[in-house]
This record gives sequence, structure tokens and C-alpha cells, in this order.
Amino acid sequence: MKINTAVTAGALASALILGTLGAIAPVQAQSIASKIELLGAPASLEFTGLRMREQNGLLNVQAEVTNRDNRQHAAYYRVKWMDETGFQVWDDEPWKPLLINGEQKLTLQIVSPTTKARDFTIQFSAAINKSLSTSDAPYTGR
Amino acid sequence: MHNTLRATSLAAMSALLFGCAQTGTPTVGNNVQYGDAKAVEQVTNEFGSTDLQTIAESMARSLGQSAAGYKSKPLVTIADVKNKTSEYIDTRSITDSIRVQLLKGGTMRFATDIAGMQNQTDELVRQNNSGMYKKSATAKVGKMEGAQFRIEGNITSIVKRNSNMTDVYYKFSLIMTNIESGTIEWADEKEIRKTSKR
Repeated sequence: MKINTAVTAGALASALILGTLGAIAPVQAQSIASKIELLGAPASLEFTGLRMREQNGLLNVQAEVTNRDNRQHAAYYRVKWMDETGFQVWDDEPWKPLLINGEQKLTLQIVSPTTKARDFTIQFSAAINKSLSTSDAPYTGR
Repeated sequence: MHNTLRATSLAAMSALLFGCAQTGTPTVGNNVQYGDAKAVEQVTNEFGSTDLQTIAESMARSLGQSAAGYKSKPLVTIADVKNKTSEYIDTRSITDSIRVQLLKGGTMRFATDIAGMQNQTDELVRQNNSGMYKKSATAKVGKMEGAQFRIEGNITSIVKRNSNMTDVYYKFSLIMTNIESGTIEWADEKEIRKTSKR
């Protein structure tokens, strides 16, 4: 899985500049790849955009996931919320299932649960990975 | 012979009593496995833990975002969420999770709801009428704050089946009403689709 750093870094930087700068400044210099924690190597899903802004003290994140395959793919994600020092300020979220159609670009709309959150990491696990037929995806049953 | 028999039965007895604890781990027995409570549950297509968690999180985030726009934290109360599906769903558990997340997030305050009112009044009566408490240290009657907003909603479902598959669609709708004016100040919904092969 590639992270389209060149395009998305610019988008994130401009989003940050347009947003409320004060609280978000610590993450400005970080690359978008550092915001995504992949569990495995997704076969055809790719993060192609990431934007963040602050509204009334809460972080609003838009993450664009693109499916490069022409078949539907399932994935799972959740977000870790941290303060400016990297201290986790919210419990582990439940994993959320995603279904992305062939060639679809899906935008995840995410809002922080508390005004203490100043930074985030998206944990992402695709059902089908490059190396293995199925990932160690966080699901029960099936 | 007798000694061997006694030793064997003692070993069997202690295994029964204390289980087969693995060395180095603080466990008793190994018939049960603990799982990840946050994992995506795909055991059956009925309403499950992932649906409850996803709905509660989605609604709490949306409400929190709305509440963050107010000058002071809104004081709200939660009324019923009606279950209009054909399944048994503990909607109280969903609203409890929403309330927990909003309180932890610090974006809203909650007034005692109808379900908690009996305990609240009982405690006030006990403190003020039993004659057992210092006057200076009792919670006074007539100081409770009334909620400005009321949250309530519905959960509905549509189930379709054919010979190959079952499709379940859930819609959870929530509204927040200004109690004084009667106007709906916020509304949102969360949809979930689950399909399973028969």
C-alpha cells in the first residue's frame, strides 16, 4: 500500500493553514504516512487524501480511501486520539467495518470525541493483503 | 500399590480443584478464551456488539460536535429510544453508551432521566426527612436543575430474504428537542447494512 504523500501532504498542510492554526500546529510538519497505522499490506486499498481542521475545539478529519481493484473490498479501521505530547486521551475505539466498491474513492468522516485530542492515528486493516490471502483482520466469527 | 493410587488420586483432585494453570500466566483452566471487545463481530446477522458500538459512537460524536457550538455545555436528558425492529434490542444500553461517551468527552451535561428519578427523589427524601443528617451537610430539596434538551429516537429495521441470502438494514434515528420551545435543535441517523449467506 502506497501513501500518496506528495499530493496529500500538500492538502493536509493547506487544510491546516486554513484551519485554526494554534492547536493543530504540532502535527503540521508530520507526513501523512505517519497518521496511518497499517495492519498488513492492503492488496488494493490506498489512502489518497487526508485533511484535518479544528471546529469548536474538536478535530474534524477526512480520510480518502481508494480501491484500485474493480471488485469490492472490505476493511476495518479505528482512530487513536492523542494530545500534543502524544499521550492517548481516549479509550481504544471499536473497529469499524468498511466496504469499498470497485474503483471507488470513499471518504471517511471522523470527529474527535474530546477537545483534549490534538492529534490522531488511523489504524487500518484490509481484509485482503498483498502477502497473504486474508489479513489478521480484527473480526470475530465468520 | 496403595501409595501410587493415593498419589494419583491426589494429583487428579488438585487438578480438578485448581485447574491446569499454565506456568507464568495468572490463569485458571484453559477452556475459555477472552476476545477483543472492540473487534468487528460477524457471528450472525442479528443486532450485535459492533452495531451497538458503531451506533453509539456515531451518535455521540455528532451530538458532541453540535454541543461544542454552544457557549455553555447544554444540560440534557435522555428519553426512550423505541425499538421498532422485530428483534429484541436493549436500546437503553445504546443510550447509556452515548451518555458515557458524551460525559467523558466533556461536551454535555446530563440531568437525571425518568428512569433515575425515583432513586434521586428517594435519596433527597432520606437526607431531608429522616432526621439523621446534619442540616448543613444535606442536599437541599428544590435545587435540581431541569434539562434544557431532551434526546429521544427510534431504531427500525428492514429484513429481506431469498433462497441464498438475508439482508438486514438498520436505521437508528435520534433527535434533540429544546424542552422549553419544543423545537428540534439537532437530528442525526446511522444506517447499517448486513448481509449473510444462508
